[in-house]
Amino acid sequence: MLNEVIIGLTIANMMMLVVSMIFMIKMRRFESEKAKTVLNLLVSGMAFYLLLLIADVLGYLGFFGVYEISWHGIIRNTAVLVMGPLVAMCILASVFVIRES
Amino acid sequence: MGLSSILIFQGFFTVILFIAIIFLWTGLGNEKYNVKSRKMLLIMLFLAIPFLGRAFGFMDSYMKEMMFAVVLLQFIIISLMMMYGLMLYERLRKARVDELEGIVNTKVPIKDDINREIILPEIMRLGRVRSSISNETRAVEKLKKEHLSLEQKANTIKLKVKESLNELGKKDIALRKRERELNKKEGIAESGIKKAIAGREMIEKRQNELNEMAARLKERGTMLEDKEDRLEEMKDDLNDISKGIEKERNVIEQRWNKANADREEIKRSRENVENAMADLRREKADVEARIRRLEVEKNEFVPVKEFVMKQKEELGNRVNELRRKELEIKAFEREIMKRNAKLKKQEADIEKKTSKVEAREKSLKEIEMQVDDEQDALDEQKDDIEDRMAEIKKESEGLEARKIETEKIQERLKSIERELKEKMDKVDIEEESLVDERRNMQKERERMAKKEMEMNKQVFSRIEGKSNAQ
Repeated sequence: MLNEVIIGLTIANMMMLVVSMIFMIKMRRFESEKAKTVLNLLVSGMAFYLLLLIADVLGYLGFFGVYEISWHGIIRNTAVLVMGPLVAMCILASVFVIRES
Repeated sequence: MGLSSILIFQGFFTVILFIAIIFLWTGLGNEKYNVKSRKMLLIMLFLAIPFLGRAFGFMDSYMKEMMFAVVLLQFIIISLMMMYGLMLYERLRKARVDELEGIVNTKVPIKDDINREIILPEIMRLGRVRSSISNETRAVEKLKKEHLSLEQKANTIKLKVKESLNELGKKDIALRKRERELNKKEGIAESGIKKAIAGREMIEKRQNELNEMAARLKERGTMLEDKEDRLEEMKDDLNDISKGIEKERNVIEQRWNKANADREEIKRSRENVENAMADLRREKADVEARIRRLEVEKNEFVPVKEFVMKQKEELGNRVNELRRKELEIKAFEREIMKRNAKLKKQEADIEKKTSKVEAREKSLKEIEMQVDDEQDALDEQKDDIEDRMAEIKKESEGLEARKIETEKIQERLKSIERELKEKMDKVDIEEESLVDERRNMQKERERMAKKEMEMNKQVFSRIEGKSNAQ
């Protein structure tokens, strides 16, 4: 039961993240140029986080044995290895842009 | 160092980065920055907690619970982000709408000029472009419909032609069959005739043979008659001799029996020959009847042959007609091809126009972007102006206080002025009185001078009188 809840919540997270990304992209027109770059960086960070969540779902599916994915561990680990710092870097860059402005 | 240890380090590295960002963000707290969606960033910073959970993923004992906690935290943070994003977007949109309404409702004469000179012609032009595009699309749709109807007509004509060709083919096949059958029947009739001729010849041969046989039989008959005569003579001789030769009588009787048997055999053979002759006559009659029937059939097939010939001619005519129709269809197809080419040209023109329109739209978008940039610049200026306004407000508050003070001072000054005016009035009155006094004084002086003059004149006249008297 917990496994299904975890997978379902992760998929819901993905969907909500996509919706918030759409709102962020829509909000760009109300912002100034520098704020637009900040928003762009945040959206790219969210996109990396979305990739992380997709890898998570695949990992969970393999981990919980829903599907026999032999490489779920590799996917999840690679995602955590690459996407996590990328998300952090994007947010850091946006903070620096705000600081510069 | 395995991948798992790198993962652990990487997870902690991410968390450290997030912590650094949080510190930087808190450091920025009091500074002024112009990002309307800064709270989104603040909410995103909360993602540090799930990353922290992920970093402790090496603890296998609480794997599932940790996963659940991380996912739940993610869910809360992302739902918060989504809700705040939605709210902020709505708020900013409303603010923008209000601003636009404000811009629209401002009574600046240049706004009307912009509307009249720039926006209205552009709208008119776009309307014209839209109407032309819609007209062209309608024309294209009409042409497409016409093309479709022509294609349908051509297809129906093709189908009809195919059907008629099939029918003609079927008819041709049926006629060929009939022709074959007739040829077969003709062949059969010819073979029947040949057979009949051969039969006739055979019958004639057999008749000849039978005649020969009949002649032979006649000869035999005559021979038998001769023999009978001889026998009778011999009978007579025997009768003559019978009396004496009874022994020979049996032999003769036997011979007689034999002769009777021969006679019966001959009779039988004669009957057989007669039967064969009857059969042959019947066969002859049958063959003759067949020949007659065949001739009748042949006579009957003559109109069929004519009919077949006519149908062949008709087929030829129809084939010619079909060829003509094919030529017409080909001409029609050429026309369709030409129309297709025209349609393609028109489509290409429309595509060009649409590309032009797209280019114009792009330019408009660029203008919009520029306007947005200008709007951003204006927003920035607005923010600056707001800041300045705040400063000005502060200053104006100070100025108001000063104003009140100055008003008080002014009131005081006014009262002083009034006093001064009163004093001035008084001074003026005094001045006027002084002037009057001066005038009076002058008059008195003049009078005094006149008096002095008179006095002097009197004195001089007295002096002169005295001198004259002396």
